[in-house]
Amino acid sequence: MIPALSAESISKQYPTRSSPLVVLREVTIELAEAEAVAIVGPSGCGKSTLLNIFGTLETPTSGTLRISGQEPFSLDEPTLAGFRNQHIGFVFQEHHLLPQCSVIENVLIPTLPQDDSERRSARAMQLLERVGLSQRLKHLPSELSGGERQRVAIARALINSPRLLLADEPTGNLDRHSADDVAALLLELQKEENTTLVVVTHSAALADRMQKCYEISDGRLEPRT
Amino acid sequence: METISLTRKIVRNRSLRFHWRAGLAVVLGAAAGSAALIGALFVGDSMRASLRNLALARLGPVDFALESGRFFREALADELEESAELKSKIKSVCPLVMLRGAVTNAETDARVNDAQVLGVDVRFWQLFDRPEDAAAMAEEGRTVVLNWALADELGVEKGDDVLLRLPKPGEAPLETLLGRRDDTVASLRLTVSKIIDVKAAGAFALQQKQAAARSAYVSLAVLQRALGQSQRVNTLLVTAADSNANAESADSSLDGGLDEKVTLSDFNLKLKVSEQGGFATLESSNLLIDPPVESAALESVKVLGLESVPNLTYLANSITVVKDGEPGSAIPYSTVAALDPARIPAEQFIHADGSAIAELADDAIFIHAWAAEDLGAK
Repeated sequence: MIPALSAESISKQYPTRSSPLVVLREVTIELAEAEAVAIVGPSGCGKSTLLNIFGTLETPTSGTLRISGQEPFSLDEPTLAGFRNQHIGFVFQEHHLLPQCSVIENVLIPTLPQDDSERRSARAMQLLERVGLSQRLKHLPSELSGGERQRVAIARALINSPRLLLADEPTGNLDRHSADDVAALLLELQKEENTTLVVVTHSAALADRMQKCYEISDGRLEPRT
Repeated sequence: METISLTRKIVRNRSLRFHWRAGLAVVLGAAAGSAALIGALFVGDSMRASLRNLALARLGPVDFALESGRFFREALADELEESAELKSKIKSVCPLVMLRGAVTNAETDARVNDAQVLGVDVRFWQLFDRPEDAAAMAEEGRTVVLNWALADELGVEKGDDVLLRLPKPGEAPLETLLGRRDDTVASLRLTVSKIIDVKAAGAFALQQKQAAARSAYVSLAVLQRALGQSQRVNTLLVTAADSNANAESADSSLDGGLDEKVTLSDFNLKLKVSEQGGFATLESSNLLIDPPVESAALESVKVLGLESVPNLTYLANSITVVKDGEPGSAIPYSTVAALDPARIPAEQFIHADGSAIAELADDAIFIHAWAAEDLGAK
């Protein structure tokens, strides 16, 4: 079966005035469909860089990335943007909701290039009901709590039923209670949607809830024992 | 179930409404910036056009001007005008003397220090199509025509007397021993015969200034005499046959015409040929030969396959013999020539006994037999 994500010898380095700064060294990982993994490591170790490469937001210096069997970095920029929109969902530490749009409109934003408004609307409402915000469809982000905003962000990430859901410190800005709720919701939805989930986190509690945990150390990705 | 549709238009309108304050500030800022830029461009364009019109009005029919720091032959104007090569390109060439000087109201002492004084003849007035003004300036008479800008500032009217003071061109720089310090200014007392409007000839100026030129027009012959520059001028005004013709082509034709017509006299130079001595001397009445003239002369000598001996001759206050540390006999005001004996043909530079002089040490001087005799020097 084709893995949801396959990374082969991914390296990333940034040029500096002295010598190149190596962030990732020969990272190799394969994630099956519906798998949920956490990536942990100290600040600045390259977790977010790796997540951005998985999300095709950054290109690796060397190595090969395949998502659902396709090499996204071989695509031209407009095609890559469409690929990203259809196959990858993002949840960031900040919710990044548009303040001028209502809850449901924010969830519908990734579907703007599509035509079938009825189907999209139904899917958005279904997701918002699932995250417990069916009564807040017309509310603005400013009228929601931090946890609620992050739930809207999760619904937005899943609106196009992506094969890959990437979450960068999704509970980093939340209190413990909200963080637990969001973590539980993220895993539930990942299972329901049959999506492969990669979470980058500092939180040991969140990492422990994932099926696997990897650690980045000195630029290398290794399974955490 | 209610269907909620979201389109790009909805997002755009929502964004405009939500960010209206910031958007309005940006629009107002852009409008103010654009207005300032457009205004500046309009004003700049208008000012450029005004300055251009002003400059053209001052030049009148003049298309080219030759302004020189030294005086040259007045006849050069006729020679250029009659040149076969330039005849089709030039309508007229007008010679004149153009200087800055002080003009004083002889009665009230009101003075303008930086007036433009023009020594002109009928050719200048014809250039500006004002032959009637030429009549106001009798060729040999002590009269002057002023423009209103100068007359107003001096407070003079027709019939009043004015005093003109002009720097007199000297042949040797004033700071040198040979420069004459007692005769540096030419003064003229003249009667105002006419006051002309500040337009056409009355506005003529070659300088780029916003204020109108304050000009006095004097008979060319009178001014030349006062300056000791008979038949010599320092400016030529040229009117092209076709003002719309390619300026560069007319300009290069004029350059070519000048190259052909100028003589050594126009550069205050004299070439003296000594057939007996077998040499020629190039002398400048300006004491020193200008570097461009020196380069051109040396180049010509090279082309002709001749030898050159550059030398500097100057005045010494005195030459005194020193014996046993005590000054002895002296010769006042002698000329001293600095030269390189190695570059002089042997037969031209010899000892009293007839032997050739091979070299001249840095701390040595040669004096001729008469001077040696007077000084009692050996």
